[in-house]
Amino acid sequence: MSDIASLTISDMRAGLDSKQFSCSELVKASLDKADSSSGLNCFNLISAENALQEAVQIDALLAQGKTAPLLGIPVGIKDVICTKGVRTTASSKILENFIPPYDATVVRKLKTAGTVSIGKLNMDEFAMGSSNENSAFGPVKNPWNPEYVPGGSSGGSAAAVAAGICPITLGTDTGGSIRQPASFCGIVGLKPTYGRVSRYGVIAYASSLDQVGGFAHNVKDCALVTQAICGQDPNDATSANREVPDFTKVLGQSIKGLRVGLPKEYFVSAVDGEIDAALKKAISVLEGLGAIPVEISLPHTDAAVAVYYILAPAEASSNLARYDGIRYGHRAKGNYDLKTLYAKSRSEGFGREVQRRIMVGAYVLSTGYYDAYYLKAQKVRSLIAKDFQEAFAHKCDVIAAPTAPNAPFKIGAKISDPLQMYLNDIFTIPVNLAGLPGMSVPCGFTSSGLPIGLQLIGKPWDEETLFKTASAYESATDWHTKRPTTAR
Amino acid sequence: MISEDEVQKLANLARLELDPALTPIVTGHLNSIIGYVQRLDEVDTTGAEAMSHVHGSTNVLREDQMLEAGSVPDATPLGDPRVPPQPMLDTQALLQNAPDSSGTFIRVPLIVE
Repeated sequence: MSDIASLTISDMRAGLDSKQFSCSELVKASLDKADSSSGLNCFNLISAENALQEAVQIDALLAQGKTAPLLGIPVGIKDVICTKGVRTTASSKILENFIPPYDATVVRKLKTAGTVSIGKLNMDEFAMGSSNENSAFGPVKNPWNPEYVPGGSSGGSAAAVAAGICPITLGTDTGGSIRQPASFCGIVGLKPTYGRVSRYGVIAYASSLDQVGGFAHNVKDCALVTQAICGQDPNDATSANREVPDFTKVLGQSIKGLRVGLPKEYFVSAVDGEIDAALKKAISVLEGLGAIPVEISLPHTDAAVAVYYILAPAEASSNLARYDGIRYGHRAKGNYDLKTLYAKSRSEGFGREVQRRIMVGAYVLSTGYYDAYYLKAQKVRSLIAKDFQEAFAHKCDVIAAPTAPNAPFKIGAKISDPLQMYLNDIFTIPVNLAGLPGMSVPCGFTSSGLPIGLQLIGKPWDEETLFKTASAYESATDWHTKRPTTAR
Repeated sequence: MISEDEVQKLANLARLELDPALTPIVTGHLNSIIGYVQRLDEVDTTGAEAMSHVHGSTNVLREDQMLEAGSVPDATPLGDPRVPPQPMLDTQALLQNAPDSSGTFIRVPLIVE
């Protein structure tokens, strides 16, 4: 019973239900692991006292013989998701003292499922970044090699699972912020279809793209956390009125005859050689399981990053206008007139990347440029969505692709060149623009021992095919069982 | 190309105070981003609809209602996952996050002489 925090949910469930260990012991193990892994900087806040109190409550339920898939499971929450009474900062100085008066719907759902939150996870400020280096609380380090980035923006969420601190965490994904860090940390991460999960209580970055999803060691655990958070919410008008299927039902099903689309635009020279090789191997594994690879074309792929870096900053500049130092958040000290107070509070509170995106957003929305940039990008967005619709209508049931064009890079390597950083998301961004579900599953390692991810992209509302495909792939490989040595 | 003057103007519009020493760097970054996104000029969008939302949702409206002030009941393990109708949040709970307050008010700089 040395390292129970790093177990999968199935093993934790068995241990809790058979009284091999209590929820209090499990939560304590999780907190201890968070403490011994503090060098990774995964957490912005650890709520030990709350967690241990909640564990006592859960132990009382377990003693009555109660059980549920997630009852007593320790979780971590990305710090962009509001938690009642527990500081929520979005990794920004502007919210460094913000204590939400209510829980986000996803937090409420996880609590009622019986999970115990051990803390708030570090991230890129306001979810803007691909390396978790844009945080007022410092960078998160990759558990596979602490000199490397864990990916972003949900870097803390991915690193905490990979390091074996807790088996599931929540993240958000606006342009790849769940899938890319899942890939970089060698774990499973799923961004559900836009509208599948409530955004109520999630601090907004780009509202037409943001979606909450889960990280886990394996596909089944990912299905369990996804199950717990999905569903319509009257508090979020963009959450969809759609039945949520039982995702665990499809696990283990055959993928014989499944048509796997391989977009030719995603298998190009810009992709690192080791990644390309790992992907090709993964595809032959799927083929060995009876799937049929088919080449497809998504002709507007090359435009996706440009569309994203117009639309997301535009939405961000509007969403972040609320941080003015008046009602909540950081206020500059001194006797200033109102306009100066706004500018000083915002400049002191926002980090450089956030300020950069606000300015790009203000630029593309300004008079004289609106049609050339914003309207044009909205039109290209519909062409990108149509590319996927065509592929799914005529050619394939699911799409397989690299999650990222390159392996994790060293901390500091791309921070001074924003555009190079943005291009990291070239294969994840189109999925958000089209509102599709996307998943990353571990599919190998580089020669220097850094993880590589296989991205699976599905039709709208068809998370089931992603889980089915990923679970078949997982049953034929052992990548998901590998753990970083630093975490042992 | 965006000039340093335009960048200063943009910062002002976005209510950001840009350190003059940093203006050349910020201008360089903005020009590289704007330069990159201009590749969209080459995409033929004839007949393409502007897409602002993926599922073409429309506004969801409801009747306004008056609710008593109070706080949302805490979630309990194995309890009802549905979020109850939101009561009006308690003023004191909200003021707890205000940078400067007095009584039941948020204190702000003098706006009108």
